[in-house]
Amino acid sequence: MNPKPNSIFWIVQDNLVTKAVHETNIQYAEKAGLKTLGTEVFAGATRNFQGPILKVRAAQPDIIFISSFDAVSVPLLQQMRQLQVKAMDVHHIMANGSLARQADLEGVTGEVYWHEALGGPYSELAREVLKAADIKLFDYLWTMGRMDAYLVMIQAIERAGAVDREKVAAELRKPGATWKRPGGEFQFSEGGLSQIVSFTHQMQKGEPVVVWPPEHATGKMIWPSSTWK
Amino acid sequence: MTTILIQLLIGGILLGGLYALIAFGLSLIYGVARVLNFAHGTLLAIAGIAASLMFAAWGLNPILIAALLFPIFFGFGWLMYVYLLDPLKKRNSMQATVGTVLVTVGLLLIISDLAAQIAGPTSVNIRLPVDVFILQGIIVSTTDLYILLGIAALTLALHLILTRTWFGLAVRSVTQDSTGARICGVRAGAIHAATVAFGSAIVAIAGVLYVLNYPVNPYEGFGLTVKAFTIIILGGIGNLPGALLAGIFLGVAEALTGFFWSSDWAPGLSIILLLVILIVFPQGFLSRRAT
Repeated sequence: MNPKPNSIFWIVQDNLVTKAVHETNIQYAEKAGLKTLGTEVFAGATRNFQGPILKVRAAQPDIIFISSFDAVSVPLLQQMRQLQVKAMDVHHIMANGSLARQADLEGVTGEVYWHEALGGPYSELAREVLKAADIKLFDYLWTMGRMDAYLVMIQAIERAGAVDREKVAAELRKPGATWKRPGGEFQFSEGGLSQIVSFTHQMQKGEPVVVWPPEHATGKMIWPSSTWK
Repeated sequence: MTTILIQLLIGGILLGGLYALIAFGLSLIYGVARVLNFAHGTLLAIAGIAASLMFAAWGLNPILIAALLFPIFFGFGWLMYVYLLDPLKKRNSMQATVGTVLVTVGLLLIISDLAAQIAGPTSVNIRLPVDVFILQGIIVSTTDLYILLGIAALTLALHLILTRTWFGLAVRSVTQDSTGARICGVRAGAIHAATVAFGSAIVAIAGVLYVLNYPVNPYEGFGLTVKAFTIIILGGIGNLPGALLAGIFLGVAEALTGFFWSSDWAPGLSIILLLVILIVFPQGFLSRRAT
């Protein structure tokens, strides 16, 4: 990346999921040589984000990483724009759902777990379901997760050979078992969390464009982000 | 540091002013009709959702949206009092108090679920085109200015209504001495209904102002009601100037907590304050009965 980012600031919602995502990504940031300039944890009920935003502005990080659910960070992004925060990239782990309807999302990068343009197992089924339900994947954060859960249950029942609660549970708990989902295969961790591949996207002219990995990219990443100058 | 402090004060006053608007209605309703309306914050959330839907569908000016919602919520408040709350007054004091809590909490649950069914459970807001003014590093957006103007105008209008109109006089007389007011020809029952209706209509305008800066979902109302309770206890029940000061105090305290301590603690501050005030200052800091 040119120019190369050197620093990162974490803004994290006080929630088990978002904290776990933050902790995982700290390791990647360290490997990439990014220096952490600060971490601000906020409660889900926060509406006035001026305190954390002023801290971010003072730290002047190259990357701002927001690990939060979509709805609670609508005012965060709005206030970041109003207070003219500058960075090479603002990354939001759930840059869709409630945020998808916000103009403030323009130029923000995020993560999607599948995209209509991607292939993979059950992709055709996923497209059919989305079309039949008249659902725009990007507007509904949990659509893909729920579809994944349904597909995993089908596979578990097929492998168990019966609709038997104990046998299906045993299949799901098998260490090292690999499961198929649109976008690729995945395994469950020891604690039962799914470890699925995500695709980085960037909002460009109101539309999500998959920018990484290169083999699945549907467009080029704008770096540094033109909307956070 | 001065710039940061002023910036934090602006944000705190903005949010605190909105908290105060929520508390005005609740304070008025409790001060006059003695109704603890647990659904009050939910009415704000519903008004905010309705406003954002109207803005998205028809692109209406928020002032016009507020003007449309005011009579609707006034009517809803009136019906709520006449059909749900007034019948409870025929019961004994204990039953009436418990009944009021049950009815308003039940109403909160029903209207939250209805709104989620109709409009969806996700948060919505109104995003106006924004310009910013920068003075010595302090940034104020046009949306912030609209909200501040709205808070000031509504506070002034409410003050004038309560001090310069027959309705305000009647409200104050019923609050001070219900029997005396009746002897003088004031229909206390109608004043109670009108106050609940008026309080509900005020929160509708507060809802429109709120969604200009902050998103709401149908289930968010109860948290706002708790903040409003904190404010009226801090400012003194029935004391509107006290509620305004208390709202701003809470908003600024949350903003300063978010910067100097941790954002994680800021939303919980109202609960901590509520407990401290109830123990140390049970009459509130400003316990004058203004209404």
